[in-house]
Amino acid sequence: MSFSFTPERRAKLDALILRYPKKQAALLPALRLAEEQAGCIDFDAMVHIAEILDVSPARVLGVFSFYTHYRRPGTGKYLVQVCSTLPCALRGSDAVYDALSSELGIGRDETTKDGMFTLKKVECLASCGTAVCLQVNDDYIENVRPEQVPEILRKLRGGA
Amino acid sequence: MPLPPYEPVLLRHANQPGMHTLEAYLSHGGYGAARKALAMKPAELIQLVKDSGLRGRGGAGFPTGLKWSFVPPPDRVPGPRYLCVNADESEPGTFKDRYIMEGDPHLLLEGIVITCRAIGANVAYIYIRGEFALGAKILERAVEEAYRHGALGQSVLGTDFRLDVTVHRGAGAYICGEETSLLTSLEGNRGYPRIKPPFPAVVGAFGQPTIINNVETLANVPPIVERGAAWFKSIGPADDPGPKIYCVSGHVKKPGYVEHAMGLPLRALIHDFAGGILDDRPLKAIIPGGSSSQWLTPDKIDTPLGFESLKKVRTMFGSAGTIVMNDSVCVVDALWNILRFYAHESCGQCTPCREGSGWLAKIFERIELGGGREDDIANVLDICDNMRGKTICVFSDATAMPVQSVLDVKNYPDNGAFRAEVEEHIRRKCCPMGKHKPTHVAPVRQHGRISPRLVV
Amino acid sequence: MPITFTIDGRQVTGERGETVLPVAIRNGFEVPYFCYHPGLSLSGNCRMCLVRVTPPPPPPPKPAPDGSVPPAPPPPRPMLVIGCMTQIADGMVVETGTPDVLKARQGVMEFELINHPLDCPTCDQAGECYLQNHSYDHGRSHGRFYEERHMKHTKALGPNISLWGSRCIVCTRCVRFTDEISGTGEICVVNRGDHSVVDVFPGRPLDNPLSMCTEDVCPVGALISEDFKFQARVWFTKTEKTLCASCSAGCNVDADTVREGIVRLKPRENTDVNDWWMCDGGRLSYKSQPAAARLIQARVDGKPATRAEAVREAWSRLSAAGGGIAGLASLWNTNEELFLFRRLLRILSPDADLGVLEQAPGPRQQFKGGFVIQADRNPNRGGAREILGGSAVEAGASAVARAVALGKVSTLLVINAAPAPAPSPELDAALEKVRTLVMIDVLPSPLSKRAHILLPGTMHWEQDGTFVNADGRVQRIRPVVTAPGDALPAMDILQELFNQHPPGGSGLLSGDGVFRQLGADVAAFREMTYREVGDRGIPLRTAAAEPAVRS
Repeated sequence: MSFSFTPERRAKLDALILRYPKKQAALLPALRLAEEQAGCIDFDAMVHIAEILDVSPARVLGVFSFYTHYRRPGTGKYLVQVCSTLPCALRGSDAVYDALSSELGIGRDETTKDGMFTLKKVECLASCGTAVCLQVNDDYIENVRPEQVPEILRKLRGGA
Repeated sequence: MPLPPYEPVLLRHANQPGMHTLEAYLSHGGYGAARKALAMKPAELIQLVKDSGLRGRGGAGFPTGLKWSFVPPPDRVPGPRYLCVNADESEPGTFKDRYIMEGDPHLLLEGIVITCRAIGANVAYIYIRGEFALGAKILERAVEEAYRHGALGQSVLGTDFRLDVTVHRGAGAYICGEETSLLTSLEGNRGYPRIKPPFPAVVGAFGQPTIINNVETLANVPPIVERGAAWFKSIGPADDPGPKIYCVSGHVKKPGYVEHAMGLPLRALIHDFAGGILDDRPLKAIIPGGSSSQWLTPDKIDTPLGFESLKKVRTMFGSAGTIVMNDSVCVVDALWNILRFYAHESCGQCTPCREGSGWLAKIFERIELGGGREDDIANVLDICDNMRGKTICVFSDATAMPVQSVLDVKNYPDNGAFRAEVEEHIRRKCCPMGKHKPTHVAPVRQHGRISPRLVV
Repeated sequence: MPITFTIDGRQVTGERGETVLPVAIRNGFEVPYFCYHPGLSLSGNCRMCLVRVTPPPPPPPKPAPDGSVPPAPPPPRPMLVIGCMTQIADGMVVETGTPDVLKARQGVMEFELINHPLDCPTCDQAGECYLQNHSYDHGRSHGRFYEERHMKHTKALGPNISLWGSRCIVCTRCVRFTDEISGTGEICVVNRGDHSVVDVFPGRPLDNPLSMCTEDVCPVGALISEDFKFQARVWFTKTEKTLCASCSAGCNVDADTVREGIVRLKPRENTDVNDWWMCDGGRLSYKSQPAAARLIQARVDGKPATRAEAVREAWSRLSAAGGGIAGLASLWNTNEELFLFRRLLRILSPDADLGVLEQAPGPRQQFKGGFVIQADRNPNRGGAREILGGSAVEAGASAVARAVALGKVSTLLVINAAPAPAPSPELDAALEKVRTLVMIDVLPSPLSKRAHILLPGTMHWEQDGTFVNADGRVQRIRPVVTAPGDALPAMDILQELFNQHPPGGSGLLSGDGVFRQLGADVAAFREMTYREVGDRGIPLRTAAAEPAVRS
């Protein structure tokens, strides 16, 4: 399955490239655009981006694998990332994670069978004042307590 | 002692909903400072910020005006200059820049306009951490508004000054908050820090002179231009002045952020603003400036928060992210957590940091899970020593510092209680607090085990 | 203006812009390193070359306008910095063996090894591994890593290179090589922190004409040449300095042998020729002519003969030819052979036609870092031009073929040192008319099948001699292995033939002896000796230039 940008996203990328003195600087934004379009970044997308930005595909792979926030292939519709760094851990992020894990029936970095949820433990989300913090796709859910987990998941399942 | 009254400067708008629009910003006299700055000479602006005593709010506390003055004149280094805004807020315990960007993005943009004027940059990039999707969206909208309003673009506020601002989203790498790493990342590479010298002010983004400033630092610039250096210096201690956003998290009743003058005592932050210790339990440890700073014992609670004052108690102000721990915390567990973070975030470029961060995390995991060994503390301190000052950037130091502050009683004589707790873990081969069950199983030594088959 | 500073108390000099490490290495100081490579950009990531540097003291303060002298700035403090990236400065003090430096090195060594599999007994790098060497000098005697090691992938990166990821120390030399020298960019570092390891993009293997240089630049056993894998322990190999003959670039190589067989070729640094690199084709060229297929038996009219008999018979037929004689040499023959060949033919017939056999050209390939694979796939066109004359080389075999076709030539002497190219139809037809074909050759070919007298010769790694590369540089080849059977270098055979000539010479000159005779005869080699050519070669003498060394 090959990947190529939609004309709108390609135009957006072309405009972005002009904002940097070097083409390669648009690599991180380009990966974002690919992620936005396909829901994840696969090898085909990397090759496509490499061609546009005149770099080797290996360079793109190296950059992609350095950054942990890009969505890998196989990620569910909702990527649930639980902050597990100290400030959140002190406020009980482990309990929130355990609640999510048992509620979803999946472990770390796993995806539910229906492809709805992927569960991840991540490092600091810079929302320590509103710990425990979850990031679900782009959105932060803050001040989460374990007992709220079923409600949060219910809302997500309902598409709210 | 009651605190003197304080009028917020940085968050004066951000705390009110709806202030992220240009209209609202203008209604409060927005971009007035920028107009004033555009009428001034760059050298005057740099001198003004130098006089104000503003120090960088990103962690290192470097004097901002001095940093600006390092940009070489065009006859020595021709070509463009860049401003990179460090919005990669990622030090655990720190979450202040996010509220400026989300609540009052035009304050940041105005700071950018003035700074670019001062350093002669016509292009600025806001490097915002990938997780801040909302912040990036708000900033992008604000940039668009500013272009439409003429606060950015070919003719900034009707002058012949030209400025382009681009919001650049990162993608999940703590190290990209390190300024040189931010530049390599901006250029579309793995976020590897670069060796200094040359400093970014001379050879920075795309090989050109570049100034990297933290969001909060830049938010301080418009008020300085508006009200003058003397006003700024009058806020907080004279050697370390200005308004400051403090973050407090962990075991306090009301975690969050608050703006006050520099030099706010820890006690006031924890008890007056954050409502005291969670569950009214005794305080056990304070991390004053983000997870990489050295730990403090409860008796240091009257220390004022500031670059100089915290240096005196052998720790650092860093990015002003105070993490409070009450007596329910296990020291080993908390350090393991911090070290796991650093092992995960080490860029992997320099050997001591790449291997040392992971090694330390594994040792603390083993101690916490009941596998402590008698030589662990000595080994850990030696590993820390081998990591410090041996690498390209200070990430390695940041990893070792909290560990040293807990274990190195020679240099941190007041922290003996922390070390005693680690020793108890090792002696009893379990976590005395019962945080984890002793499940450690020594691995079978695997000398020479390699995958026997080639995978093509 | 050279810069003067001290290393461990000894004064040394370097050029402006140089860094501490190369100057230290040049002056014989031992500073260990992994990631530094003189042919690649600086990376500074291994932290092994940490040295203690005290910057030069600042100039004394100038008196203020009011006459007062401000206080002198504090003297600079020594710092631990990496030698590879620290620019040298006048008055700088560098120390390479202080206790803090030694401890830092020991620390780095320990960090490099904690997740290393320590599989030296099965690792091909063992014996030439930077980790082993530095560990011996700077490592700890015991481990204190009680945790589980990370394991990383082991896989083929391309047809010629395999990766043992667990051995990788992420020095990024191979990444920099593919970025900067081959310009192909196949290798990248993937993942982060202590999970970092090099890899290629799926479906884009490491497959470029220089790919095997990544194995040379790899300081450890992470990248392994498929060709050399499990072939030999390097401490059993014997190394000889010679040249690659696959094209006219004349890459300097080290040939490693075990029990009289070449096991690998590695590029030998020569910044005037091939820098630190060579192409995969050249590197694997030692396999292209298997010894089993070689010509090892002298033959006269198809019947086996001793070499002495064959030489005598050859001389009698050649000398009987009168004027009807011509000769073909190969552009793979050494200068010495070409010189003797020409001398012999001139004795037999002063106006004998001379021509050359050559390999068909291939594509010329230039890489990002400047490395070139020459289109000319013959190692010694430059020498042949000087010795046989430019027109003879340009004409190839055609002038000789024409002379034979016209019936002017009845006897032909052919010397060849490479897989003979298929003769052109013109030459093929001409050969029908030749009465006597005397040939020195190495492999069976259509040409050698027609030889009336056949003398087995040697390949370029079995003999002494010199080649002239595409840039006009005279360089040495050396015998790396002994020739099989009766095979003898053409240089010796030609001398034996010459010795038959009355009054007859006696004995054989060595390569250097012949080379000196050549130097007395051909202006471009004026007064050259093997000693002067040395390991790195020297340019041909131009008409204007005086010889560098007068003997």
